[in-house]
Amino acid sequence: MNKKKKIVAIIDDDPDVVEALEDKLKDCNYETLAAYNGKDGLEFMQKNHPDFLILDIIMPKMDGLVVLQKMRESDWGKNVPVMILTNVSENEKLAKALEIGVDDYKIKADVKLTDIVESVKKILGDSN
Amino acid sequence: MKISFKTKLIIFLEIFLIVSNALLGIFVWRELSYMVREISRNRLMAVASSAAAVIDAEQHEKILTGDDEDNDDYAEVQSVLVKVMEANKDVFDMYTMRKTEEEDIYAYVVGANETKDENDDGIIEQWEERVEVGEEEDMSIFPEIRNAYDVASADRKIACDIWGCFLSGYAPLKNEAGDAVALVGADIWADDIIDFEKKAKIVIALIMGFLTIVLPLALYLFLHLILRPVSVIIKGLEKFRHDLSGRLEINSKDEFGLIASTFNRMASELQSLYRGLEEKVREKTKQLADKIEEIKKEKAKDEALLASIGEGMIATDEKGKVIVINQQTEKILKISATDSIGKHITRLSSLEDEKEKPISSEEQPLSKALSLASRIAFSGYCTRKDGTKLPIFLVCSPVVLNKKIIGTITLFRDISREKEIDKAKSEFVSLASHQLKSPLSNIGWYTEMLLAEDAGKLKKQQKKYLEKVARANHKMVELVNSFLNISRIEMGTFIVEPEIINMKDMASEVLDEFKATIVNKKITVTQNFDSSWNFSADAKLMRIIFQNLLSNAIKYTPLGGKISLDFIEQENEVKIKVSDTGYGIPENQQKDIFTKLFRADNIKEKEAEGSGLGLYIVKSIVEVSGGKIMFESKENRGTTFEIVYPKTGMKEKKGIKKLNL
Repeated sequence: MNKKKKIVAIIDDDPDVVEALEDKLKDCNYETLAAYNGKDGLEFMQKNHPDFLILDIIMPKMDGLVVLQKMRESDWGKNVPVMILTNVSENEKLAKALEIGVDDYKIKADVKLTDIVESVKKILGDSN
Repeated sequence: MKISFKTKLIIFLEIFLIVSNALLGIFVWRELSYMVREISRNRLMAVASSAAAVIDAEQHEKILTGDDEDNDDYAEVQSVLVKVMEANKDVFDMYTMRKTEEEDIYAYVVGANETKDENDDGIIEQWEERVEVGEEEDMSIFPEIRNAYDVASADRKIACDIWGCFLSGYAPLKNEAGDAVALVGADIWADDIIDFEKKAKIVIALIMGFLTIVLPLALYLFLHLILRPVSVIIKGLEKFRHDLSGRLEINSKDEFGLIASTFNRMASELQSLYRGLEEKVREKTKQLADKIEEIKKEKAKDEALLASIGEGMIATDEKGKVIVINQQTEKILKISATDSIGKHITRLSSLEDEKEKPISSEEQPLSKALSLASRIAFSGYCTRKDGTKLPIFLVCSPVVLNKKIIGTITLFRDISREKEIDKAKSEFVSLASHQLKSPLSNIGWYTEMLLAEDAGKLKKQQKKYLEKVARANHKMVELVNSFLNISRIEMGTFIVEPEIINMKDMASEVLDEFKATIVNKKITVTQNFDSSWNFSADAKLMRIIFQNLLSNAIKYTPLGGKISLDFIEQENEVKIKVSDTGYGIPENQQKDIFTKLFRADNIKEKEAEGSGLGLYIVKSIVEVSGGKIMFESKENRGTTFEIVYPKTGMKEKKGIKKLNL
């Protein structure tokens, strides 16, 4: 089972969120890439195409929605599963994200870390 | 020139008098000869008759037959005639005549001025010779003579003979048998009559003249005297017309006096009546003036009131034509009252809905208010005539008088400021919740990792404490969500998006969330679902409803209690019932249970947890989505909540935000 680890990219301006997610995902055998703003995130994703993206919406420099938009316009990113993980429950932003195309969205405060990881696994077909 | 009645009457009567007097004068003048002659004839007849009455017919007979040899009889008869003649000075001759055998031939018998021709002295005057006894004369031209035998008669015309002109009167001389045997004649000179006529004419002229002068004068004086009170009455009446205190000053005791006193009494009554009336009129006028003043004040007040209404106000008739608008309307819509009145309300500005789409004419608040006869609230945009747009909120109410709609009143306000505040508030809430939730989620996750022993094995005590942190954090997240939801409810910005959901699945999912507690507290949960489990509802909202009602039921039901969840389908509505055998709500607090942050006294000690926001949120959701919520509760016996929706399901509502679970 020397399979190459799947890369889960995490873009969130809160380092604590990133750290928690990284720790948990690494435990589950995922490689993680982290960025603390949209701009950096988009840049490193262009170099290291991730298998999954956990994306926050409100971020400095570049909004999560813009990241999503640009990613979906690119060849490498148009089919990458994306989970929106945010504390923003403003309907129009979520609606916009859903419109562009995301695979899941979760409100940070309302979910457990394990639920997030389960969801990632499920989407990537790594359950069990 | 106005001629008074009195003058008219006097002039008329005077003219009448003068004319009648003149006519009478002319008549008398003209008829005088006849009258004088008639008088004379009658006198002559009377004279003749008086003589005839005294003369003895037989004695008279003797004279002609020749039996009167010594002329005694003649003298006797003549003396009678002379006596009679002397008694009547104007009679100049009297005589007797007798019919002869021949018609119209009469024979003289005795003459007063004659002697018998066979008188003894033999001297017969020349004129005497002409008349002697038996001398016959043709009297055919005097028909009166013929009549004289039968009745006393007289000549109509003056006759003239050789002795002059005269007028005669005759009377029959009758014998004892009453037969006329002769006649007695009496003559007067025509000259005397003519003289008399002349004198009479003079007298008449004098009398008439006198009458013509005196009578009108007398009449005038008489009328003046009679009519004076009439003048006084007329003047008095004239005065009375202008001045009711005027009275008639007639003190006489005749009819005029009576009229005057009656009138004066009437006038007094009228005056007092008028005074009373004037008093009343004055009083009424004052009342009217007061009323007008009051109305003016009232109007000014109304105007001030309208002006001071902070909101725009437009009143229309039942067809939507503007009757009145207030200053605020002028200001908000940038129109003038004078230009607006009489126009249809839709011409003042055009309305658009929340999404800034123009609304159809049937959807106009005014049309709806009129057709539904109920108050219509509308929130949207209004485009002014100059093209600028502003958000407004309006309420259009029909004005009903005697069960008939007579118009509408629209109150509206510019809600630009509210919109801005709403936006700011919503942004703030969203930001605040985001900011609050971020650390909370971190606490949650790191606690979770610690508890999962990702950072190494935990001591029992450590685990226990961390669990408390996790629970407190969870509660904190719930609180933030609740506050967020409440702010959305209160801003009315949350969405209701009904879809067909399976109620049983929903209930099971929610119950699963509480499974641990249910098992812990040994609570029996029964579910009774009628027929269809499908219902048109907003899944998220329905979940919030279930979560809150079930969590309350579980939380406030003691160990070993029972909870039942019923879904009852009726003809037009569906009922969702959540019953428990819990602590119940004290009766005196039942009215407050849907208020924000309410927690009943009896459960505060028993259950520390609970924000007091759940029922408030449930009620808001139920009501906004077209349902009703009721409850029944008895302390220490349990509570039943019953939610009723139309069978068609939740009512859709557009908005901005979804509520969070």
